[in-house]
Amino acid sequence: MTDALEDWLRPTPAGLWCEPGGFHIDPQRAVPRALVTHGHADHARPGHGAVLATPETLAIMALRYPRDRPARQPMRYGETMQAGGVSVRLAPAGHVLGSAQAVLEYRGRRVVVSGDYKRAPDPTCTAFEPVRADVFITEATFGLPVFRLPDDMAEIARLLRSVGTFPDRCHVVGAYSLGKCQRMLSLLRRAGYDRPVWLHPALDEMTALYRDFGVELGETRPLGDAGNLAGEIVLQPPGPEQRTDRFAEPVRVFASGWMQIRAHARRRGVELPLAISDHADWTALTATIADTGAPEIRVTHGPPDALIRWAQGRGLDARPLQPTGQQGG
Amino acid sequence: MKAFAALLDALAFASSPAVRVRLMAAYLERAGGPDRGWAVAVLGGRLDTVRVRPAALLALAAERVDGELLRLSSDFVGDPVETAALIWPESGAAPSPPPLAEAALALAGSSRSAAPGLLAGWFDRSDASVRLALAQLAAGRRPPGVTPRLVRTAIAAAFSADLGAIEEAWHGQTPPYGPLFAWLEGRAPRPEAPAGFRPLMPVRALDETALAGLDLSRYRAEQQWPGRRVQVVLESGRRRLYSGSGDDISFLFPDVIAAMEGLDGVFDGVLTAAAGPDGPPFRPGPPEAFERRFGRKTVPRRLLAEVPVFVRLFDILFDGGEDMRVLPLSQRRERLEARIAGRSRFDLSPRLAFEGPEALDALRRQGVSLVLKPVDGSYRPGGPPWLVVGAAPRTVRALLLAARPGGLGEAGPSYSIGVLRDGAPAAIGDAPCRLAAGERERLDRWVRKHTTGRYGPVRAVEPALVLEVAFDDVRPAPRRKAGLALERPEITRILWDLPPDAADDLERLTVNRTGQA
Ligand SMILES: [Zn+2]
Repeated sequence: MTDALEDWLRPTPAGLWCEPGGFHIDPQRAVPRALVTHGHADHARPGHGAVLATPETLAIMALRYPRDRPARQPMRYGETMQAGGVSVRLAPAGHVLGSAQAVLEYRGRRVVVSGDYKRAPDPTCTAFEPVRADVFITEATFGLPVFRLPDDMAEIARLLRSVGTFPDRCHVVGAYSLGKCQRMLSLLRRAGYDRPVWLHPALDEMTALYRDFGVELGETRPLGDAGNLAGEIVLQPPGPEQRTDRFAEPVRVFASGWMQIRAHARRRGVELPLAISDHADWTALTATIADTGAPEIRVTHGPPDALIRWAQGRGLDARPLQPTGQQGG
Repeated sequence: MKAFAALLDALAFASSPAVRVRLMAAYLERAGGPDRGWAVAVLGGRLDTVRVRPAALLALAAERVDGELLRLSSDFVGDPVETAALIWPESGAAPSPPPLAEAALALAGSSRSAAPGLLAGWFDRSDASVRLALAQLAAGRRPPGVTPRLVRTAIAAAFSADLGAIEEAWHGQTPPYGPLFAWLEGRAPRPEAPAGFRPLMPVRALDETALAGLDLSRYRAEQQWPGRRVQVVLESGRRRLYSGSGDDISFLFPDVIAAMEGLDGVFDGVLTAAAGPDGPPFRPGPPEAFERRFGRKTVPRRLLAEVPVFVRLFDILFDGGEDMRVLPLSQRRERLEARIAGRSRFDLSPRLAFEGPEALDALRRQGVSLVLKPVDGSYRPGGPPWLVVGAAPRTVRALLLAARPGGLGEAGPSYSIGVLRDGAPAAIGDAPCRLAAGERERLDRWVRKHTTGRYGPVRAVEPALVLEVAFDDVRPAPRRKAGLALERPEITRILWDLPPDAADDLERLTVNRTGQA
């Protein structure tokens, strides 16, 4: 048996707690010291005393929580620091700008907390770096073998084909402000789409922040009162509360890994579902578990059963990380 | 196959018929060769294959995937067909799926035991989108909201062709529709189908305002008959009875087919049950009996005798080989009358004479629905449709006789009403009052003030208040003094200012003896 991981790193209602290091990872409540893997709201909460994160993630948090004033401790990918005998390093996770895996070493054992990650190439953030580990704590948002997502360029080709088929309609793409919006812009550019893309105001600031960090996204224009935008592509935050009636015969598009399942796409009332995700699909999850070489796997942020079943089938010690007090997303 | 799979994907989420047409047209513009024809067959529901059950698809997957992973996935996805397509293991090699034509032909020639093996072989060579398309094909699923008519509309859009011309060439064509596409691409003349269905003149309902604006002198009227619109075809010795949507229903009506002897041509009419074997002219029988003649695989001899049917004809499209459709209605009608005289199982829909709007209204007040057709109109399904004018809502001016409060579970009070018979009131039914609350309260105050006697909860009143009462029909009621009663009467207006003798006389109400509506 292992000497218990839970002695120094364990889930608590506030989040994953590293006792000797004296910090939480992605805590859900305000804590004295937090290591934040990336800027999504279900990982980066306001109100902490001190936050350790990549400079990009700290900038994203500052943008999201302008009144929040934690002690900000930037740490670049690859840098190492010590905290109460625990060595801490951040490795790129490939999820969104600044996203990181937390690499913790204590008494000769290395634990990698993946945070959210993906393996698909994405020019808007640094690519995922596999790290050898004794214990790999992985997300499992798409932890079912039905989630093998198609090539993202093929999905973008579907969007552009639809724009060609319906030149009089406006394609309104639902995309989250942090990550998905900029990824869609970057994919469109890679596919050779060079028209301006129209941005809902809620997506403006985050996109500007990406540009500040040197990410190329091509020309975007604010929606303003630009008319019905027939034949154009609009990006706006997803959700039924987002109105589309100002646009010309809008084609509702949504870019998410969930769109792989038809029932989900139907439930969202989407006309063109695009299975483009910033999370690892089943292929990437299983490949990454293999890449880390970790004999112990803990599964969080998603349905754990299938991934645990798969890992156990390969002789790994795989279990859910409980209690997480967190919801997958 | 890849392009067709993408089309099915898009159709699964299309938001309107217009979008479906555009998606299919875009596919047809790009596709070529036999794939295009087989796509039309699949979309139009003309691909006859064995149906691979969803459970069989899941079983195929179970041979290749861990059972627990399959169960968890199936629970999450819900649809077994989709689950099997998504979870199928991939080798990592570049997909090389079968062309649609190959897959469609192989499935059509396959058996229930062999089809799953075919599918498994294809799945191994395909990506998820193609697997899902193949699985849907094998499961006999068609994209939602795609009708054969919509597919033909898409063909018309893709080839900038006339939908009416496509409809005409359509019947008798079989997948993969080589001659049809050859004609659409200008490589061959239009295929002519012997004993083929011709598109029918469409009908459209006309509202009161549009009716008021109509120049009635240009129209002829016929009664709209109950039953099913049919096309009767006898060409080159082949006899067919088609439903209004172009389905061949000949096998359901051997009696009609037999009676077509010598009826060379194409005719438009209504098929309905006859009240008895005698005719022509026939009297329509009960609709419930008529329904028994549909939705069956075989037609027992006994049923032919129990439910005799006849066809009431109202137009002729072809007389022998002569195309009558270009001629005006008046000339077609003459020819039709000459052709039909003295036949069994066929009679003529009589022309209704009307002098003007008043005569038309009188017909409508008798509960007759009418079809108006322009006298000089040709039979052109792409042109202006025939116009249907519904029966007028029937009303009578009645006297209030008594009021009964609504009991438990009843909607509200009901009011006994009557008309005048030899100057004295005769009851013809009990009607609810659906007027606004204020008007109802005023009515109840009037009832309390004019009560002449109480029989339990019922108050008899002085027959002095005139009501406008709408009703559906009049039926015989021998036990009533009036001898008849109203079907579903309802008080629609209180005519406070009218004197009691303004109520209608019993003679205005006559039982509709034919039962036609
Ligand atoms: Zn995230």
